[in-house]
Amino acid sequence: MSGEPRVQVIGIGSPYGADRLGWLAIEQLEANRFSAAFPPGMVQLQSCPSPAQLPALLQPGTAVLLIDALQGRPPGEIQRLSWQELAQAPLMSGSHGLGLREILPLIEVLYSRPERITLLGIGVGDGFVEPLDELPSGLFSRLEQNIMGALFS
Amino acid sequence: MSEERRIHIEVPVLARVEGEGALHLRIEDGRIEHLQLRIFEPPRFFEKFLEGRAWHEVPDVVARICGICPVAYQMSAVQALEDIFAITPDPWVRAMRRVMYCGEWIQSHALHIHLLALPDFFGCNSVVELARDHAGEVRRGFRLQALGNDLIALFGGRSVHPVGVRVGGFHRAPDAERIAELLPRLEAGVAEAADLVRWCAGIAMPDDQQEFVSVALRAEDEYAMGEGRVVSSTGLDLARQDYDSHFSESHIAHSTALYSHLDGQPYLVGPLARLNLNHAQLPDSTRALLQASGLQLPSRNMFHSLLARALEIHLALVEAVRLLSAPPAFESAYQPASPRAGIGYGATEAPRGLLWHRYETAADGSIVSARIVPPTSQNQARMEEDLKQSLEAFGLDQHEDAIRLRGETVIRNYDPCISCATHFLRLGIEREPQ
Repeated sequence: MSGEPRVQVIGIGSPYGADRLGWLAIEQLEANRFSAAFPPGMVQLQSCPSPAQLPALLQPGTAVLLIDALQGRPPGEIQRLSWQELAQAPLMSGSHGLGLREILPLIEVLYSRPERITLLGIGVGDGFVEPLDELPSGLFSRLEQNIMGALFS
Repeated sequence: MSEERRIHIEVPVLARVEGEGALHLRIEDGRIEHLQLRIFEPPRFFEKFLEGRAWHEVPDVVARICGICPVAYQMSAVQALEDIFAITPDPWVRAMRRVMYCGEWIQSHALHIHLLALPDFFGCNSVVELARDHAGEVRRGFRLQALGNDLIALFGGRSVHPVGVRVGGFHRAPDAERIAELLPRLEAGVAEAADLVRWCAGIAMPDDQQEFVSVALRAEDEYAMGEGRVVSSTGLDLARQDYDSHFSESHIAHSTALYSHLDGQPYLVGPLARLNLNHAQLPDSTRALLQASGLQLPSRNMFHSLLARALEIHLALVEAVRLLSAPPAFESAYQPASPRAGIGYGATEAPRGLLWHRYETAADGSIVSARIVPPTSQNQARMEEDLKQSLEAFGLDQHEDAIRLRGETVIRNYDPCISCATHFLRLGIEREPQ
């Protein structure tokens, strides 16, 4: 039986439009058997349709990599934000006022080690409707490299 | 003649109310002379969007009305269309729809209690402040919310805007393995919900007694969720088809949401109305918690809505465990529909209260007209009435900040879902000195 995960990789966003990039990333990681490179049960891949559901997903003591679409950055660009950088980033408010901007301060209070949370933002250009098939090839290989870099740097 | 003094207060962001609304108050001689709960969010025209659509598209279209309570919209819609197509859902479909609805009550109530309402009763500005002193309780709230989401996803494929519901039943039955995985968590959730009820029962609430009419569905043999007759605390007892004979909607200039009245009077729908009318039908364990809480029903204190939501979370978990542990036998996840022309009605209990739908279809089942009466518009007149009484009882000589906070607390207590948009509440007070 597998133990508790030590790493959570969580794709955030709507299942639709460019905002589904977080979901797509998790699907690709699953298809590439990303978790198989680690001891069984060590890495958990999850999708999260709303930042408001994040606090329930986070487990004590895990390293957390959030993957989300990043508006205003070139398509396919991967930007890594530490917890400190994330807390100061000009994030958009989500619907119902329960977006990442509102939920991060709550995570800081509830989560014992928020400094272990990292965001990997993937640029989607200026709009939420940009076709994802225009994303540069090799994006998900670079994403895997970024995840490994975030875990072991 | 005294010199006129007007005070304007703007609260630009806010907070824990879903949708775009504003509150305007004018206080003269220590009395509220003018009070408007303005809903200025643009109309969203879903009823018009539905016209001409195929009948089988309706559940997925109406799920888009709300990200918090999409199941409610789906359930009222399929009930109305099944009414037209002469489909009687079999026992398995009825039971599993109730389980899915339980999921929505759990997640919606848990979200409202912890993220939206509770901070008011602890003197906090947000759940972040609340979590500093009550981290364990907030974490519990998120666990309960996650359970609700998982129940919705079990049937709907996903928790936000689920897609599993269809006219006649579900597109597919959930996997037995997933049910087996979920059941122990649901059973643990029952105990956590009981702790939540006990905790909420101990929170000091304003003692604000008011007269109001409660309206909810009532089922024959269970606490009504997905079916029942429309009943009221004044003795009304109607089939959902006869809703229009006593309930009316009207447009008021200061709101883009329609106002609803029962025989010309405001009324309350939602958890407290349901509990007031149907508490005798709670499962034994939930009723024991209710009795231990000391809450006397029917309650005339709107602030008891918080405890009502906690009790309904417990009820929903108990029901989900019961129905998933021993589901009725079934052969198919749905009955095929034979579309035809007609008029049908749906009425179910959304987390925020009664949700009524009416559809007219053409011979091919396409939608000729649609009418949807959501709970927030039904509560709108009651909210204004409550605000007036609550604020006068609170004391209009209080500081504007205190009046504003009490007003916001009263509004939030209803869990209004003005729309699926950002939150924004402005309060304008004009006060003339005595």
